[in-house]
Amino acid sequence: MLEVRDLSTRFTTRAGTVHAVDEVSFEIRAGETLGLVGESGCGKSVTALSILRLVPEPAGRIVAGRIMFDGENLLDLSREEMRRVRGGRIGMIFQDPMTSLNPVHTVGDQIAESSRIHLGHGPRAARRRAVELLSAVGIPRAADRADDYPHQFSGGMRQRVMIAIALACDPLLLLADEPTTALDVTIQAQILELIRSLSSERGMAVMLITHDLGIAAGMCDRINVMYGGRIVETGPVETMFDRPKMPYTWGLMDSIPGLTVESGADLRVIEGMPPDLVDPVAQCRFVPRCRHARDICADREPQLSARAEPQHLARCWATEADGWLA
Amino acid sequence: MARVTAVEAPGRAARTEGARAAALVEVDDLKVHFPVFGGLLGRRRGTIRAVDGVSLRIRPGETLGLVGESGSGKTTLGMAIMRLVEPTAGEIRFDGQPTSRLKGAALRGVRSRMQIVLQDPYSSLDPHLRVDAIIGEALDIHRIAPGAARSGRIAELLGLVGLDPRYARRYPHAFSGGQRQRIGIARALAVEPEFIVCDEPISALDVSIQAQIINLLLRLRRELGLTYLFIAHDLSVVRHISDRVGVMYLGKLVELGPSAGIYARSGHPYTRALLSAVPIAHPRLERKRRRVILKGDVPSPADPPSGCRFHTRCWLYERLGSPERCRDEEPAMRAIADDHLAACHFATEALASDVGAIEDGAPAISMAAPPAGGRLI
Repeated sequence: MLEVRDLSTRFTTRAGTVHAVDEVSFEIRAGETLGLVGESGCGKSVTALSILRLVPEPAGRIVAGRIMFDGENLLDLSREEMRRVRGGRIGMIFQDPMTSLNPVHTVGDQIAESSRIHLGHGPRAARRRAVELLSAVGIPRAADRADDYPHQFSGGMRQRVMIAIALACDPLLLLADEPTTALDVTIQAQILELIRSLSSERGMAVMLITHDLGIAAGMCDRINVMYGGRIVETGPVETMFDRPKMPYTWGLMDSIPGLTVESGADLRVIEGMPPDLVDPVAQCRFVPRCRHARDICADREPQLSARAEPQHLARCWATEADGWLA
Repeated sequence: MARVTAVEAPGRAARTEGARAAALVEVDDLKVHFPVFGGLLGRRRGTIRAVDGVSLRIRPGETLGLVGESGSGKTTLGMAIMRLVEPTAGEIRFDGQPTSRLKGAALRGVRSRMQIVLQDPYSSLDPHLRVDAIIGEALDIHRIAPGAARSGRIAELLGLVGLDPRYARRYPHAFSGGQRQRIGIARALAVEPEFIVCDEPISALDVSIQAQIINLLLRLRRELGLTYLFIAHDLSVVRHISDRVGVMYLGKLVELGPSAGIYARSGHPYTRALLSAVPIAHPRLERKRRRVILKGDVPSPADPPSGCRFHTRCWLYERLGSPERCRDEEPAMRAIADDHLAACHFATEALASDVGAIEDGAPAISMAAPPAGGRLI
């Protein structure tokens, strides 16, 4: 469905060139959900923006790579063709809806517009679908509320309208960047359930960016951990939670209050700051914060290489077959 | 780090040595209602019952967690305790003193003993003030550390929250979200409060930073003997930090009990539904869980449902064949275990259910422990 190969996206700033996404490769099959996790600034969102070709220009630029989607390289499409892909075959949900709602149209019309343009629905069918979707994202009295304007909705409800719009055109691929962060857990559960069912029933592929490892555990088939613009570990979800092979992933998983951490005990913290991505040097990017680092880690950057299980790759000298933590 | 006592607040010694109240904060049948105006002539159209008859105690030194969906009234309750909103009815006592009638110096006296830390560290710090002015303002108002002692005290407070005192002359924009929240906490600590309301103190922060702020709050509690009211929607964080947890729904407290009891043996269907919605960072457990998805939104607090306010969304009500009692009679808080109250007519049935419980000693969530011999940071 989606195959990203050696994608690099850079930003030119006064301080130098920021390597926001650095030679990232992954794929998502139909019906599969891939999670992207990592701290702010690790390149998760820029990866999503690159796929949509929404990287803010001219500062930002996709400098290399290939993004194969539904048989074509998105990087070869014209602007007009790309516009038809966005919101059509690729649906998107952002935490801060950059494509914000239009204040002078009812929410029902805005959802219907999407299925009319991209699916060729007539007005009546589009309206029916809009009401169905509003109700599916948990808006009570959906048939009435479809005639309301965005200002009559609370922030959480507007976010749900954005989700309804993203799903209205039956996308092949959904890019969801922290889609439920601002919502109550009850509504969050409702929306995740909806995404899950669309994925399993219609084979929608999902790329889910989240900082919530609980959501990643429940939703994703595979997980990519990103750090400093690189994928540092990738694998099937159970392997990633049971046998992670990269100290950064350990740190990420230990920093959440889970059931194993004694209540009131200090949480483990990854000390230090995320790396500066301006002209990075050829070393493991986690070195300055890694307890297990040795000389080699600062001398040479490890490659993503296979661990014991198929499809489980990590970028770490220490956990390679002959490494000191293997 | 030793307890910071650059200047003793007046009366502190008398307070701690005298008969100590069993509760630091007592809330009795508190109601906070807001009028709703609307229409062409701006007439009063209704009343939002944000907090509608809540009673609770916060014991000295404990952390009471408060959870519930948006609109449940948890923030308003925190504000009312701080007397940042005026109660419509009911009483709040701080260290035995009713706060509602206090004025002038007496009110300032109580205010210096309680502080609030807010959610958004971007909007809660004045961008035009340097850090030392932000923290110093509180010192000046309460006449703590005047003159030469002032800058020393500010440096000490910054150190206490893990910031370099040399940053005192910088403006808020120079700091990251986590650092700003530390400044917010330093400001709260400036007046040496005993009690701090933490209103969603970490929701706006990155995960790894959240852990740092939680650790800071835990350390300050140990070192300064603080009492917290910890309001948050992240139930796993609340569980981690709280001794007891209160659950609010539509302006009512529906359950109150020890943290472990609330999470493992809840006697309220709402709490169980809420818990079932929390994602657990464990793929196998997470996929196997029985989840109750609450339909729709919280009803309007301007027009709450009759009887038990939760009955319109309650899975247990449905399962029991819609008993009349739930629609007609408002359930009172009743003891269901030691120190554990729930407001449900069918608490026994809720207790017996397998919905949403998060057991103590469930299989390890994080097996991310580093290999033998290595300890991660």
